[in-house]
Amino acid sequence: MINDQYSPEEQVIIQQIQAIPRLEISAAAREAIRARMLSEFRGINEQSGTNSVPQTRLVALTVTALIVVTVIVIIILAIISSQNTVPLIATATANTPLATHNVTTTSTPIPTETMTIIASPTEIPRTASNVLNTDTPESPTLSSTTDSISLSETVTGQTAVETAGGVLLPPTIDSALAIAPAATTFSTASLGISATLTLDTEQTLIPSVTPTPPVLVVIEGPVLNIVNNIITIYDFEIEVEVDHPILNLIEPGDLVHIEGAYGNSEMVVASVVSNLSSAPLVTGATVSLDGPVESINGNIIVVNGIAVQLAANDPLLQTIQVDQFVSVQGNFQGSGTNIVLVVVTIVINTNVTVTENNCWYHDGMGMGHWHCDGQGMGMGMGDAGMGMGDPGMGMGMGDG
Amino acid sequence: MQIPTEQELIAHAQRGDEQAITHLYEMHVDAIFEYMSYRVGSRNIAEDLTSDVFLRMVRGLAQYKDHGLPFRAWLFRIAANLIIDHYRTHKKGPDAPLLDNQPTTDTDPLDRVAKHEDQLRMRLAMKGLSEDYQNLLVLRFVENLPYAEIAQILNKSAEALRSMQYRALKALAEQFESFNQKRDAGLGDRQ
Repeated sequence: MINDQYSPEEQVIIQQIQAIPRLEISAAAREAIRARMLSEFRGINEQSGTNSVPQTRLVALTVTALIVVTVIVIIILAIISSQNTVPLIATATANTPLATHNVTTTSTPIPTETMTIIASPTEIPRTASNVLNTDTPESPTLSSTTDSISLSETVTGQTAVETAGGVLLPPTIDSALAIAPAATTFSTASLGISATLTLDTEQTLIPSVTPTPPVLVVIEGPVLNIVNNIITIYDFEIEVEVDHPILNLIEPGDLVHIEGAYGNSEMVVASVVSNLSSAPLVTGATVSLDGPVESINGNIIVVNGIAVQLAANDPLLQTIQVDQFVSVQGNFQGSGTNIVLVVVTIVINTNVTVTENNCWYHDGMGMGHWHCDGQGMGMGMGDAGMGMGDPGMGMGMGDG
Repeated sequence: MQIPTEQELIAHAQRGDEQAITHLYEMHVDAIFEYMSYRVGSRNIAEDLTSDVFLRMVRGLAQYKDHGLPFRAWLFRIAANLIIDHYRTHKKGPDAPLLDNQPTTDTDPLDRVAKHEDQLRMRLAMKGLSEDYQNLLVLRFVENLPYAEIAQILNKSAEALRSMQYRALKALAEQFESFNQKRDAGLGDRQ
């Protein structure tokens, strides 16, 4: 399996791994294990009954039945909702005083033509032709002039209101619909439009519901457990996007900062996950990452298995090399398999000591600490003689 | 006679077919035993754990679902978990002389000894790595499994495995070199 993707040193190691002699199972052991397995197999079959329908088939049937029921329910709901549309109906009953003629709208009107509603009473000059006929109240009619609808009404027993300036104002109609100002005379011409806008005097306006934003949850604390993409901090289970690179970065015991909201399963769904480094984060960064450069591809370097994106013109790209240790601070961007850590700051550390088991002592920023790859952060001391320095260097707990 | 596919064998075995379950056993027992022997360093323990793998296989077969990966990925996952359980209850001690009396084609006794010592140092070097590193190196370079299968066995992403492989090989090289230095310094091969 050696090919060009491995360095010469790696190929030597791989060859030595593959050179270790391989044991073969003895015939006696093979037969004994097979007999034990068959005995267990027969016992299980006797308990459950042979040739019984496999559970997988039962599950498939159940799922199919559920799907059919769900489709039927959806169809029924669609039918019900299509019968629930209520047209707006406006009827002015006889002898209804204008002052109490409340016209309100409900739900959504169903016009077949566009109607422009203009909400302002109109001052109508007083002329001989526009004195209201107050004999008999009639149902209001609608007249159409160009794109506007005017609502006119003939009222018995009431007179128009005359202002001090001699302007004749039509009776006040407390209405959500307005009077179109186009005509200068009241007209009861019949409608020439096919659409009818009707108002229901009995109905009331239903205000729309403003959706409330989800509650933001912020959690900071030590990681207790990580199972797949679920992180546990104290008693909180936090769901992180599957295959998010932060899952390769943090370990149980690390301090993290989580922002998110409760999802449907009463689990916090994280929108921001950042590790709380012992070094302070610079402004604008939410993640810190230390480790060796594993590969360089254009402006993307891989550190601890995480793709780190530098600016295309970052001068560091001219000098950075594989195996150099870097301290990166930045923010994860992207989603799915395209998540990268976009750099805010990146520093090459020259004061890093590599010891066995892929641990190193980082003396950065005067806050020296041990870091063992894949074993989380912490203070630690190896056995005397490990790494560089005199035996007994350092104090603390942790893996060495 | 048409040879049944692995999916067909599994389906028959789930219906109680002894021939199918035996066929599945024969297909995978060698690889599982080889993996176990690499990881635990003792033939007896490797045989016991291999037996446990197939007992768990028959107990869990009714619930097994095909997720697009070979059946062996599931078996190796069982094996990896059994090794973790084994080391939880049994402290890791020095290896049994697993490499003794192995057949060899070397005629020169000095060559045989040198090669034997190299292999022993490599085994000890591997034992010094973390569980994940050991699993990855054995599954990748001994069992020759693709990343997709190893990802399911070790419950990691394929991308994480690639970078982990780089670190594992580097760590193994450093371990091996340190054993060589101790040998050269006359300190012997035992820690």
